[in-house]
Amino acid sequence: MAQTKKYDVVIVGAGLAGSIMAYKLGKAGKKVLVIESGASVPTSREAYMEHFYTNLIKTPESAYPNNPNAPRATVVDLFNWKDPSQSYLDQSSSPLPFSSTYERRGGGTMWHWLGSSFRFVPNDFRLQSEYGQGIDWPIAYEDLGLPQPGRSTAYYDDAEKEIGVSADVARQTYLGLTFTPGYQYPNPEIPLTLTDNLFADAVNGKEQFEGQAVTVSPTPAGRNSRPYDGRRVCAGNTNCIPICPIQAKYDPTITLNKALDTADGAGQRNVNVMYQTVAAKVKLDQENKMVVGIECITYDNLEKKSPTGTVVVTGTIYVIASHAIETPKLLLNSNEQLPAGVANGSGQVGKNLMDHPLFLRWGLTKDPTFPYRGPLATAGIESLRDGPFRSDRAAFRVEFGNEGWNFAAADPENTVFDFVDGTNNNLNNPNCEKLFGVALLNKLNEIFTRQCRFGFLVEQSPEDSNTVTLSNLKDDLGIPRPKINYNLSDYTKRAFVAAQKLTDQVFAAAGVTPFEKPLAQLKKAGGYFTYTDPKTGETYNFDFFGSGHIVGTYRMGTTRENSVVDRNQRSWDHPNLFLVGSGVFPTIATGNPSLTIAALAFWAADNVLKDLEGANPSSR
Amino acid sequence: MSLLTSCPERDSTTKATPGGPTPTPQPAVSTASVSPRPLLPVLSSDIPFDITFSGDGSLEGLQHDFDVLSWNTFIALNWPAKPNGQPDPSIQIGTKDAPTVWQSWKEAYEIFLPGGAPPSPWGTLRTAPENWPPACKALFKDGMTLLNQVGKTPNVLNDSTQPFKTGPLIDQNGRYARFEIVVNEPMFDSIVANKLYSKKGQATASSVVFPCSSASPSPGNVGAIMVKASWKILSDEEKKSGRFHTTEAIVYTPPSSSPPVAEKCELLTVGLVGLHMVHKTAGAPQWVWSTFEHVDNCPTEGETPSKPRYNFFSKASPAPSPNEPPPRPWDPNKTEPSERRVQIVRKIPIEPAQKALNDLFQAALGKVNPKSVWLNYELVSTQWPTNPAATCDVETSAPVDRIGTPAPQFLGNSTLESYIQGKVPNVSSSCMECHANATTYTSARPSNIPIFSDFTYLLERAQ
Amino acid sequence: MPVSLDQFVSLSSALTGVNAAQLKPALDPIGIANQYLAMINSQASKVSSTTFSALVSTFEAQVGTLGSPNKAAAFVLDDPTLGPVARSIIKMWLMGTWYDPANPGTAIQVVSSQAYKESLVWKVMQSHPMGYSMWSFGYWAQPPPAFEQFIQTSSGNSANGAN
Repeated sequence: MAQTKKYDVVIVGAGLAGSIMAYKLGKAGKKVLVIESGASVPTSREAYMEHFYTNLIKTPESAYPNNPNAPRATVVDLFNWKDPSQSYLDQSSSPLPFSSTYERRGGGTMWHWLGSSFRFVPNDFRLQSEYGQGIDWPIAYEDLGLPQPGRSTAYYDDAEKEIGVSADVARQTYLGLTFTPGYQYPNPEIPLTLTDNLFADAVNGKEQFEGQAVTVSPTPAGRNSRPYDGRRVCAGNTNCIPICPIQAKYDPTITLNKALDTADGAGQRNVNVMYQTVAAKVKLDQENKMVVGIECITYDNLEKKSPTGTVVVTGTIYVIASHAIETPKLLLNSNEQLPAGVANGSGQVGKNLMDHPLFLRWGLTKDPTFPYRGPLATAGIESLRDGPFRSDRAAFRVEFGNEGWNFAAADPENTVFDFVDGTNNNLNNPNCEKLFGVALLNKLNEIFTRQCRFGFLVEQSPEDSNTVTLSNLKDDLGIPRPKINYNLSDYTKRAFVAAQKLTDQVFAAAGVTPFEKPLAQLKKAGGYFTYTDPKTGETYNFDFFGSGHIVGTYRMGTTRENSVVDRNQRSWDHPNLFLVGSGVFPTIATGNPSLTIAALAFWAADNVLKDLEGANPSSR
Repeated sequence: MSLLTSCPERDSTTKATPGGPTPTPQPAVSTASVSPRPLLPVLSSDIPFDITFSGDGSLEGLQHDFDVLSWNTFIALNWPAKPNGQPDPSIQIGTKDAPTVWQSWKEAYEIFLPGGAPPSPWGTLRTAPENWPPACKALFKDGMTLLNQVGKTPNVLNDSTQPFKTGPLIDQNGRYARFEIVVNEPMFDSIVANKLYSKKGQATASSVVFPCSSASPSPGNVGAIMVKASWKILSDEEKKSGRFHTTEAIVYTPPSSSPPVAEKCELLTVGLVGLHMVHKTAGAPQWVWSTFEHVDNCPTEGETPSKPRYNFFSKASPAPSPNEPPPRPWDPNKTEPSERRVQIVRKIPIEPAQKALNDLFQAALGKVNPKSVWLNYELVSTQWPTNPAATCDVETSAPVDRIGTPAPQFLGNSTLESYIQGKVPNVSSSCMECHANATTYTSARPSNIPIFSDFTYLLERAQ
Repeated sequence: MPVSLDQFVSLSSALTGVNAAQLKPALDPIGIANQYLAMINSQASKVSSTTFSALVSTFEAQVGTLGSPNKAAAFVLDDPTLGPVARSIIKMWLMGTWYDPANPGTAIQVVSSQAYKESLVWKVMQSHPMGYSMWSFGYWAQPPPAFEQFIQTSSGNSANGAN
């Protein structure tokens, strides 16, 4: 079998975590090989944009062509989520659909991230000790949010600089968040939309929920509010998901390119990337202790099954950065030497799969607020991310969508259908009017200019039974596909009840008329579930979406029994193996994960450097 | 000036007197004079104020008029200049290769100075940047062309790479192409008067509106013009070829650690390979975007390469993939091996109408001098607004159709937009679509947000 | 006889309520009306040339009979054969996508990336197509220009180009 030269570090995955580590390590003069299962980063985003424009369904993946050699979960898969012939993830025996998706290509899933760049709040790291729920992280907020000894910046600072986050510290110091003294975000805050201000005016300083203030805050965003890092200012294309046409929104290709700019004294680059190289097995030494290589399958055609052979990539230290579904799949598939898989002495690999189950509420404002304008989300309610209620129910943050009912009710298409065809899918046309001409234009204008949408990102509790395992079904390269078991706990579901109550309260305060799917339609939704309150006996019907936040499955912890990696993100079992990305999160916390993924990647890079430069890690 | 009869009305109203009061903008078609199409064009050092309406209001007819404007502007801006930068009426263009009018205009590095210092007045000879090492300063003679000044960002490749870091352009000698951006006096005056050259000054600006050229009131005014030029470093053979407009330039490469690039300055002969000329007129407040190229740059996709050699294309095989930059890291000091030289092809062919006009103007240039270097330059096309803003203040007067529905929809220069030459809205090269995103760094508006900078990215460089 | 561009634009104006000069500008570097006409005339539209011609000729006859394009539009929309095609035409102008007249909820194709960009629904909502903004940073903090600046409506019952 072909084998590469031995690099200092081999990184699996050219997404956010992998790119940051490659950049940091390359800058420190280390020789790094990144292997990426999917397509290379295109020179121009023309092909992706054309794919987006002409795609009939504008899902998050709609800008990105399918690649049978490196398949991934898609939103379109969810239409038939129980049928593994229609869905890459084998969810045939899952109680509920795992609804978040990802990308396998240079730059990773953050091609279609929203840009929300939240720091987790201090109590997110200690859910068990504060509220008796979930599990504590082995690190505290201060480890990421304030400079560690010997450093002048915090890891969150580094992440915000790399991403170019736009926010104002004064408006982000809630729920115990603290910052490096004198710290300022790299870019100023992004102006709020008219919808944001409608809600801010209605609730700030006025509304309380469960005894806590309801406060609308601007969302820290990985979008340029100034020309930054050679990239343009956000033009409000309202298309962060699936793709920013002008790269005003950060994506990891920026960092990956910086990694590729690092070079040694002879001008030879420090970081190489092998695209179209799919990691299949992690190889261990004879003692099953050190990783000695990663066996990969290569292919040569992005459009059809086209394996060309295998290659073993080798390094001193290995980093797996393949997100929280493909990473456990790879570890579990590496089962020839250790039947339970690599790095799985704890038995925790693949467990505690989490997402922010997303609960959408939508309505019509009294006066036009002109949605479908601006970045997709610019503000939300952050004041309810922490509080005593977390002993009883999951926390959430509320994101205000700027895209009208685009996500919530498939608009503008559905409402156009309704008033042209005389249907009532979106419930604005109870008399089933069929309009045309100026009357149609006026009616559509009246509705579209008043649409608003809340998204509740619920902090799902970690559960042993929410798992990624190996399916009997294989992909085109013969690698087992991920099998998912996924459900929501009552603790998680109770947050939906609270979210509904908060919606009613805030909509009323802001003069917004709520709209909901009729029960018959709701029951057909993939994410449909019920919750019965044991105290009142009342039964609630809900459905949920994915937030694109794929978390857990190789968590960090305090002991080799309760976790897969230690606080340094190093495998307890294999001292030269690091696992990075949101898979290490013990809990999903109350913020969107990307910023914390980035901060932890900066930290992990330091730890890898220490191992490379310090004592032989195997002597640990 | 032997063929005045072709265009009498234009010549009677045209005077290059830059720097007058902001003209009253008016729609293109109604104010323009009507005259028959010329047989052979007049070569004039006068910058045209706007299109000369040739009587055919169709899309094709107006495209022709704008293309004529492009060529006349090209002739005027490339006219041999006197030492003071003014056109020298005693010489015809192309009699011999000489410094041009636009080359004396203000380069970006002269305007956006460290610390936001005010730029020296118009007409001051270029001097070496203060922060240069002595060895470079010693090479520099006041007034000469300087290529690749330090950008505002620490990323040194900022000014040697193409828009938004898509990648450098490397010629068939393995050398990196270099770029410069200059503005004319009315645009410079507007930047200075509104203090747009510094962040501090921008913080007092509530909008950015550059002046429009206009034929009225008589005798007319030249408005804002910006020029972006691409140059290649010439081999000895190319220097002797007589096929390029050349200049002696200090080619400066700023230092960088990542990618590792050594600071370097060299006195080199460079040849012009691409020229954007962007002219704001009363009839086209979204600016008229004219782009010219050296005829040897590259072949057109799908056509058999017919020239013996190209500046940015190799007929040898195996050639690198077309329109892909070489892998990083990039080092502009290097002479790259053949496999790292870019293989450029033109994706959108030059249309027959532009080809015919090129023939016409080249014939006129050839009459002056059959070996004129300018015979080796061709108009690719002209982008113009079919739905122009009503006034020179585009942000206010075109609040919905900001870019005025440009024709053609896509336009790029193979040396300046090499890697984005397709036909996809908002991402493929369209002068106006891209420059619609240009902003200041800051402003006087609430929260000091960056504001629309009237289609120029230059203002982002303010320090 | 094949439907001419002018005929198609007159019909479209009556159906959509948008002025013919906006649907097909005098200076038109994009040619979206041409693209839409070609879409209907293509096999992919699942509309026979007979039906399409009948739609146009019926509309034109009814303009004469009923006295206004608006009434003629209402007439063809009520026709069981012609109505579904007319509704697909309305949706195409609004969404840039061709929908199967026989299955009105079923999209056949986005006509082109240009069609997506030019689809009128974004103007109806006083915005820009998602993915295509030509406005500048922070515009979203202010109300948009008035509806009338985005859409020039056809002039109700008066003649609007149909002949």
